[in-house]
Amino acid sequence: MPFKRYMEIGRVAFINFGSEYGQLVVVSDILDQNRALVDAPGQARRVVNFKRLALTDIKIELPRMAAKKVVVAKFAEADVLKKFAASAWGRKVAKQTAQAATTDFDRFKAAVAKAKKARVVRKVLSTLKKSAPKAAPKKK
Amino acid sequence: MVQEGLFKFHQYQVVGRHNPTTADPNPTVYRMKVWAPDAVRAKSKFWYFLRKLRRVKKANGQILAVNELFEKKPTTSKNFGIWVRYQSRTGYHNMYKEYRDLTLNGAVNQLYQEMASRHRVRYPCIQIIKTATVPASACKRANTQQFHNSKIRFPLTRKVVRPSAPELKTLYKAKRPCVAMF
Repeated sequence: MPFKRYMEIGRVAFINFGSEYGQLVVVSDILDQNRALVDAPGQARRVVNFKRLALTDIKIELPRMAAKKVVVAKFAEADVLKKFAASAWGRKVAKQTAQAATTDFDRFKAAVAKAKKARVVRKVLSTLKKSAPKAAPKKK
Repeated sequence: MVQEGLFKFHQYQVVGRHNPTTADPNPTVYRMKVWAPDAVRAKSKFWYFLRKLRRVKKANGQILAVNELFEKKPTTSKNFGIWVRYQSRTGYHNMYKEYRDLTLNGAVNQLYQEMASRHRVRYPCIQIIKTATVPASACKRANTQQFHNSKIRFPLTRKVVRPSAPELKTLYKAKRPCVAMF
């Protein structure tokens, strides 16, 4: 059972606690045994505790404390956001955020659509049941 | 009052001198860099130190300036060496401590925290003699040197199992926590 995801410079991590929940960052430098310097395009370079970071499978080639230009370029080159969104974890996160963003009207519309679909399915099922030969009812 | 970051202690530069007298109309001006929670206590600390060094006290002196000192590059990691003189229950001791941090304020705050926890020494009993940004080759402590590795790599051996926000905390859970990281 060896470890697969290492805390290292260039490791992409997901912030899983606090006000910055949900952001993807790359480790720019290891500060000490509890904290890492993280960076991401569109975000300020800052310190985050390891406890708030969940390591992903994605690792990119980055020099230590790389300049913002380099980080932006490597992020785009490795297509980090797209890779994460395509992963199982990324899809789960997307589903959670989408669900959290639904309004009551959206949920009403979803319920109406579900009921409509169920009605159509039931109608077809009932016609099938009626037209099925009575002599040989199959026990499912 | 605008201060640097969310630190408990901030670095101030305090400049002061003895009041000008007929005997000495242009007294020497002294500048000290002190750590204090705010500018008011920085001035107090200034007089505390200056009294020990020169024959001047707050009653016959004047503060010329108090400015907070800010980190020049607060987004780069550095090694800070701090020389401390502190009072323990049995006497005064000198110490040299190293910290890795982004800002000097951050390192000094770590120092105060560590002195309080490891040696039960509080802020009034600590005198910071000198601070310096130490290049990696000159660091003395193994604890800071172990991070001077551009290919540093280690696994996080324990997964922190906690809800993503305190509001989501529940008293009972359906499953026992799984702390395995692999």
